Amino acid sequence: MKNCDEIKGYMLDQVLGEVLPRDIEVELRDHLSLCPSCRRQFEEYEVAWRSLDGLKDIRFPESISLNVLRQVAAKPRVIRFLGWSSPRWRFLALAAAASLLLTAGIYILLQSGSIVDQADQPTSISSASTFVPGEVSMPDLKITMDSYLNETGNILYGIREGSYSSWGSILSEIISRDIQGRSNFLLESVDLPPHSRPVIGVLHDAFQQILRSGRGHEKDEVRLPPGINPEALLAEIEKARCEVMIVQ
Amino acid sequence: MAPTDEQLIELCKEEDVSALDELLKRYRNPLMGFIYSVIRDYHQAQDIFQETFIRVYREARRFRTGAVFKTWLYTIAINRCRDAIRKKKRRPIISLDTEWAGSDGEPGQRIMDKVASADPGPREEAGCRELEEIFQRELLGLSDEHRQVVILSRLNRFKYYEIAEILDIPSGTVRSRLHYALEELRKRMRT
Repeated sequence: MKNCDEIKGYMLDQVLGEVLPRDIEVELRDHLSLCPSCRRQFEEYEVAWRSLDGLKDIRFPESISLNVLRQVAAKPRVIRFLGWSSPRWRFLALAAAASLLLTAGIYILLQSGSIVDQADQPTSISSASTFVPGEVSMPDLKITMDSYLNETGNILYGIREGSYSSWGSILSEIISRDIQGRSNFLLESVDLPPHSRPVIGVLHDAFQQILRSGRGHEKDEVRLPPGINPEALLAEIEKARCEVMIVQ
Repeated sequence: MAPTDEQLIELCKEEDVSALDELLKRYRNPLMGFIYSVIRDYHQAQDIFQETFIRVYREARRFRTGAVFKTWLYTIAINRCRDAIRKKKRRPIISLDTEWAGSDGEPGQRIMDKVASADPGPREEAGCRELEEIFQRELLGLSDEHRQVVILSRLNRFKYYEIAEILDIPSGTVRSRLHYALEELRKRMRT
């Protein structure tokens, strides 16, 4: 027969909903029937555990689920991108995503720096894909700054707020959007504020970090394909960076 | 008879969005509650929840037949949470904002203004407050690690071994954390 101290652990296990071995369960029941002190304690544990019932009343808005459904309905699976057998396709998509991420950062810069310097800054963005024409079918979109922001608002907000868990997840998101052909663009005809340079550097470093690790930061999600030469990809990113710098 | 989670995820492999919808209905409240208990930031919890389910759907084929969906789902979510916490500690994005600061005195503010979807409305803010109040009221005094196991056990009805798998800690540790938490709750009720 177990003493009160020994029985306490089983008492807690049972309150917590664990299934006890049959013999222990019988022993616990017998003990509680004979020991008023333990019985009282057991009841207190039950009351304490039930006091958390309020947690079950927590309700979150349905919009959270709807956002998920909207996104999966709008986008093809990432796995289709990852599953392409040709490394060249993946190389191209990664390179395009790199330039898109650079552009997203630059756009934030433009927004934050344009109040004083560029009150008359043009608000249209012309599409200019880094994909090789004919190899990847992408719609050539003409979108306004506002519509782009509406489209990518969550990404920009997420980057700003540090909501994304990694550069890989930002990259993954942008790749997904790019596969849709929605954010296939580069900025044109806008002057970059001088303080854009450090940020371009930061973004560039982030990609280097991804490349150095030999795969995307997110395991199995944004992976550098085995057949891809990291130097070549870096060069592509550099090229995208140069395109941006030329605009400046 | 309602389909099991595992049957639903099998349907997700065939890109059945209605199966995903059903999983979202089942897990919106408990999973969000768990993510929030780890992150304690309503908006970030929403992002992680959404990222988790998008990943579940897109990578449904990775789900092993015979495995338990619920454990898989929560493992993805906790990994996202850990990434987010690490990211916050390692490289706070806010410092980039400082560099981006314009001369308007309010760095980055214009982006916030422009992104309507990111701006929490009064209803959402009330929801955040209410949520925090519930957490404060129910779990007051418990540390992060104790709060997490309590949420997984009470709100999500996980067993010790399942919590151990999700949090990647020994079952014995789960048991002792839950025992400690329950003892603390009992003491609180006696005072």
